[in-house]
Amino acid sequence: MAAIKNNIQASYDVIVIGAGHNGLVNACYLQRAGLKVLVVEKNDWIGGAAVSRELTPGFIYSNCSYVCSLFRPEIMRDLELPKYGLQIIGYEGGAVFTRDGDFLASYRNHHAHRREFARHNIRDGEAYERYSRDVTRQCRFIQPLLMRTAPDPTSLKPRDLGELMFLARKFTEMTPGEMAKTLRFWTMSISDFLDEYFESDVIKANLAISGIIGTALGPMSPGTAYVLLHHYMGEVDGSVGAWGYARGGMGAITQALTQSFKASGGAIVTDAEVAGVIVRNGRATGVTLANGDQYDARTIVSNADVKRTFLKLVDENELPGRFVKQVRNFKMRGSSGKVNIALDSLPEFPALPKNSPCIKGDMHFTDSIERMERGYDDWKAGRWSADPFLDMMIPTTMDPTMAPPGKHFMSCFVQYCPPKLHTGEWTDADRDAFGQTVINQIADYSPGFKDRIIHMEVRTPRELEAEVGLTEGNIFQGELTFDQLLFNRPVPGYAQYRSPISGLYICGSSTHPGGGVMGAPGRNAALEILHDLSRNNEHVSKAHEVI
Amino acid sequence: MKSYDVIVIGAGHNGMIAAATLSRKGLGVLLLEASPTYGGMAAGGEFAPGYAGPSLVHSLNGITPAILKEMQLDKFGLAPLPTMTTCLSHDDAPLLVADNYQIAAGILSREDEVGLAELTRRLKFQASILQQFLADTPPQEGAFPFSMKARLAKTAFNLKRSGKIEMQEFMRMALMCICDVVDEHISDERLKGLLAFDGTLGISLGPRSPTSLFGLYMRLATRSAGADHTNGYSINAAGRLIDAIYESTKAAGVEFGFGRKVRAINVNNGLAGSVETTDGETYSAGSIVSAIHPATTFLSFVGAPKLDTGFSREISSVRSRGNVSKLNLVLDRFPHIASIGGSGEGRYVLAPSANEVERNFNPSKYGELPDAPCFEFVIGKGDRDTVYLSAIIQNTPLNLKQGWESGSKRLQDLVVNCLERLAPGIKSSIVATRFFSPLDIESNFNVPGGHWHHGELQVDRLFSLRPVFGAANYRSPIDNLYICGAGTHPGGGLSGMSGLNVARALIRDKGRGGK
Amino acid sequence: MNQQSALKNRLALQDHWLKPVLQTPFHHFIAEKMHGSNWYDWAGYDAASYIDDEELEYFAIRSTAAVFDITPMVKYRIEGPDAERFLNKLTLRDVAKLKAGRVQYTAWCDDRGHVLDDGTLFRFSDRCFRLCCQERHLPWLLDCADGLDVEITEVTHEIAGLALQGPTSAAILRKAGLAINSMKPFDLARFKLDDLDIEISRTGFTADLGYELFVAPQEAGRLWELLWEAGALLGIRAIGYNALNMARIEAGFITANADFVTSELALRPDRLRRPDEIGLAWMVDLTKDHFNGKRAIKSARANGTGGHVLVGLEIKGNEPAHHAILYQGQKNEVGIVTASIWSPMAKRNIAIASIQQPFGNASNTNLWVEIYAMRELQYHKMMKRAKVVERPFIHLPRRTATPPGDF
Repeated sequence: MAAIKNNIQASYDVIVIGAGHNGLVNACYLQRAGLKVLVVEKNDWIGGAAVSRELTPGFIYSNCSYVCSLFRPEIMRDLELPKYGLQIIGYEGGAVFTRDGDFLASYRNHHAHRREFARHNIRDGEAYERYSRDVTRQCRFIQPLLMRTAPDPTSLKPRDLGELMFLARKFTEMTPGEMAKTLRFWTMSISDFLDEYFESDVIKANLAISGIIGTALGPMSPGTAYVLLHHYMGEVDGSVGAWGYARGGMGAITQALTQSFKASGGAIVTDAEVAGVIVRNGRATGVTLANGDQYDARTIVSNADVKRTFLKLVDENELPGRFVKQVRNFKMRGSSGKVNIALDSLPEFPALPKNSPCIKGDMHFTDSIERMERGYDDWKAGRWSADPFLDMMIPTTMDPTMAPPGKHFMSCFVQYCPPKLHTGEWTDADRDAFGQTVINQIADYSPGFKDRIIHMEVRTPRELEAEVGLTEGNIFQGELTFDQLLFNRPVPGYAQYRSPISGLYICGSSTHPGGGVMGAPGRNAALEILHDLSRNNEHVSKAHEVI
Repeated sequence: MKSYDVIVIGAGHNGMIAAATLSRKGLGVLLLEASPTYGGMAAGGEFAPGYAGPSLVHSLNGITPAILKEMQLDKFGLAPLPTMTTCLSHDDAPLLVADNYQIAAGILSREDEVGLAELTRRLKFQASILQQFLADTPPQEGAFPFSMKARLAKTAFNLKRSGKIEMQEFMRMALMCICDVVDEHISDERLKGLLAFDGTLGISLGPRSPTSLFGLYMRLATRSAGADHTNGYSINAAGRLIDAIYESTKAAGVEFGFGRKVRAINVNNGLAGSVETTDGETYSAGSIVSAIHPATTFLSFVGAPKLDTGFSREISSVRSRGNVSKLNLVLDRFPHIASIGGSGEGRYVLAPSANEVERNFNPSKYGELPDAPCFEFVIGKGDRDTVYLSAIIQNTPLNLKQGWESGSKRLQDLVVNCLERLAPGIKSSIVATRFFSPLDIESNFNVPGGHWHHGELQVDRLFSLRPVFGAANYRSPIDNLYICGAGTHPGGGLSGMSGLNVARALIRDKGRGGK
Repeated sequence: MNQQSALKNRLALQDHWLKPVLQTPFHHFIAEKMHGSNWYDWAGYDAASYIDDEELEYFAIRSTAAVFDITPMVKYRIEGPDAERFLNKLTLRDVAKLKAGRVQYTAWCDDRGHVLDDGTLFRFSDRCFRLCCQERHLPWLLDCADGLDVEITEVTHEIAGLALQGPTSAAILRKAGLAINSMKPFDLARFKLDDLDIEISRTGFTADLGYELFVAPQEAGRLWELLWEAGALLGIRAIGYNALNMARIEAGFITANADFVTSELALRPDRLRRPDEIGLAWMVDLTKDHFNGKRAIKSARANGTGGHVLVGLEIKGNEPAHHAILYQGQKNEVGIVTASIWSPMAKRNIAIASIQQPFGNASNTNLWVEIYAMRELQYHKMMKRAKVVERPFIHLPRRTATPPGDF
């Protein structure tokens, strides 16, 4: 693909580094405020980790992120994304296959869902009500915090104090019993949390999935109950906690953002890797590209992760020593890999009943928390697991636009996959062996699976880092542990999208509220920038109220 | 039926402290103990068959000055105890670590010396913030006293005063895992191993589990809250302390009922009124203080039918699966630790690196034993010219898949072989052995799950959440029934604070006279 | 059960998803009478909103006899030596006072005294009970049984039930050969007709003469035909929920998750209600030994923190005030109407409403209801005066007459 480079000038109000979803959200909001914005992207395609790519003829791959829930509806509306082709389709089902030849399905119908749980454990079938109420209560507490800049608790500025009061008020609105539950929820492991509701191994394994996806923690690690929340606080058109496919692949999100951005007059240049941010007298004044081109702007926003931004793009001498140390200490160990597969026909899963809707959602082969946790132990030891946890789905069962008729695209998210192996760096042979492990796992439950494969792409953290630029291949641009959440994200003292260099901002998932294709960091950063530039921000909607 | 003002159940140190404090306020106190002696898990008795000495405890940590004063323990000989730890490893030179992780100059690399200084300073500061709450009665629903608000305000002020950086670091580090924190500061594996070991000993977390740093905070805070000379490692120190507490309790006029195993706390209409023992006796009392495991108190003695279902459900969910075993060896001579060229009284830790401690933790999650266990041992002089080696072995799960019947033997072999590697010849010097798995601790000391802390001492079960929200202020949903012990704030160890706090709570409720 | 047969059972149930909403054993009998397809989802079963004409169905309740399928009601069998002790711990009323062969309307609370549900408790013998309710509670019931010798089984699908309500209901049962004359309200008895076992309780949701009949699911057809045969000349009519709902509002009965939110489902803490706040204060027996929520209810009473009341309202005019807002002095919001109808029996505009205290007292003369009446795409806004009145809104001597009359 030829690089896009139309009507590019040398000087802009704002330069956004990286055309990921957060960078584009940020660019859209700033452009719509009347600023002249340029987005520079290192790859010859747009979208960062939210892309649809035709890696083999006729098949569109969501080859990084693969499902959507967290992307904020306020942003979709503000930036008119439906007009530019964005559509989200909710899942129809899901399943965990068990080793005894059965499965645990997720059904959309409330009664079917309960009876399916009851089929495995009668008590658990009825326990789900209380569980989902308790989790929903936690979601209601956290949701309003997503679209707000985290306060600096060490600051005495009225705004920070006001935000702190908001937090405190949200907390004290709860009854003391609720507060106790919330404190426990935030510090528990998903495994311990689920033990307080359920008895069945497979039901616990099913519900623990959201507690581990993307994290460098096992389901028995404290803090994973919060990670579950992180995956539950999204929605598909008002259906809270629901997940769905973006029609046309996850690239539909960044494509719509691009269209919206261009329609409002923004400019994008691709195949333009930024070599560095130019800093003069402690102020960011522009960027230089690897090819030597230079663009000037008074405001630079980096969609790259915090390590890449400050350890690679900025001269260390321009930064305070403690800040550099803090950034170095920021944890972003990759924990997952991805296997994307083009199939010449729909795979069969003999365990599933005929016409089961389960195949139209997320499928899993890990039927106990112990198996997940053992995968995590492998990760800690620098190995990929011989019994990997897969979050596998076939979007083409719901979205015919992604593959030729009758053929299918399958996305397998694999946990756990270490950024480095105990033997050293990843090699191509390692990568292929890792891919084979995944294929074998699927083939155990789907006879003839291997014969259906037309093409496949295996991605370890190495590929995620090299291609998308995610340091260590961490999909959240930083682990979601307490020490890296809210006012600690990415580092204490710089949790408000600003950096020690004036005019340089960060807007990626390394910032509050973190990873997932959410768009909130990009939007929140835009608000801070508009505030600093004394610009109107009326076009930025407030968060929808939680009533 | 005999009648008392207060019955205290369980003559562990907390039970005795509570009983003595109440008795000194003029209340008639009966202290019921299931076993024939006082001390609970810290009781003396047999170190090994035929050899006297404490079975489980070999260290002292932080008896507070308040307790010393209340219990008039000045008679208790407060001599300095060994506080030095020797970190051993199979491949590395031993490392001597003094209290609070001080290391003599010139041993570590320059960077590590700087890093360690910063780390210990920071940990001490952060632990000191938590330390302020150790002696408190945690607030509960509808009872958020002014003193607690004042304490919180003071804490916020102190934090603020400590400067922006310290405040930020506290809020960042508080819930972190040990590995990440030590990796940020130091590179010496032995030292990292020790910190990882100390922070996770007795709880079901590995040093890579988020919130595990809290274990270190708790350790540092309890220790620095203690009076002088109340921290250290010694085979007999805990025993002497328990003896002194017993003498003081007796002197306070408490009536002891040894060998009286409680069967039930009788509750009528939400009011606790009497205690029944297995020998068929019933003792009535105006108040009952239970100093034993909360699950025993509520689920066995009171019984779930007398409790609200949400409460009994919550008590049942208290995680109390013990994770440590105890191995006592009687030796005929001091072991010759090869890397040291001998051995002496003191504490030794085999936890070669933080990652090794984490690898040790892994199998315990699945009810399996580690291949190469991490453990600490204290060496001291024993009975009849022998030498006692008292070892605490981490990550030995209660629910062992292979069963403790065969597991006990396997674990002992693992440890002894490991010791043999460190100190060749030790095997042949063993005169007697005694081993306690978590299951043995459960049955020998009446502690459900054999958990040293009467329930996981993790962040989700601390302060107002310990043992559960609704019973964290030493009171319970049953009127006249009070609880203390390791299952309540501030948790296990020998601090004795919960015994003192429960007595204070009871006196506050019942008025000065306590009646 | 061994692992093999457990797996076999589990595999056999895999296809349940094909039919997420089940049919009761009476389904095709009702469907035969139904014009169109007027089903709604009641706890996972198809239940009739109306059969053909809800007004006529209502009048069947009040003037002849109405048959309503109550099979979907969630039912738990509670059996064992400690069954009574268990139920006394679970529920608010004294179960020791409930004799075998009697039924008790009751409710149960969580630790904080918030109502988990209300329902009816059937006592068959010393140690055998059945609890019928709106929501599912198995985990709560099982945990409540901790330390007690009692077995709790969900039996919803094992029992088919019909409510027969209305002035000729007793006559129909007599005609069918069932000797129900001596049954007093809340009595429960077992009958045998040939080899057909029928459990009958003199209970209902209508404030009228009425019975509830239970049989094994495979006998549902026989029961249905028995009633229809006997009732042919006595005006028997199948009805749907809409008609029953009118009767229950006149009776002043409350429905969980319509008139109050059950505490296990409520997301918003301020929606939780104690028994005193939903008109169930009379149930709370503080003289019995410990029960769930006792401590909390006692302390709430001592602190006077009864935030709301659930009351009957009589509203001026004839426009039902569905979910209308209540105002004190036409200005301050003080509550909401949870159910309302124009009562054909009382000829009054009646409602059940939840009101903040102290505005729910009968002495309050300044209570107003804001009614939006949609007429041809335009709202007519009305502010109507409302008065707190006693429930039930109607009193029918035939409800309690024993032996019951023919009509």
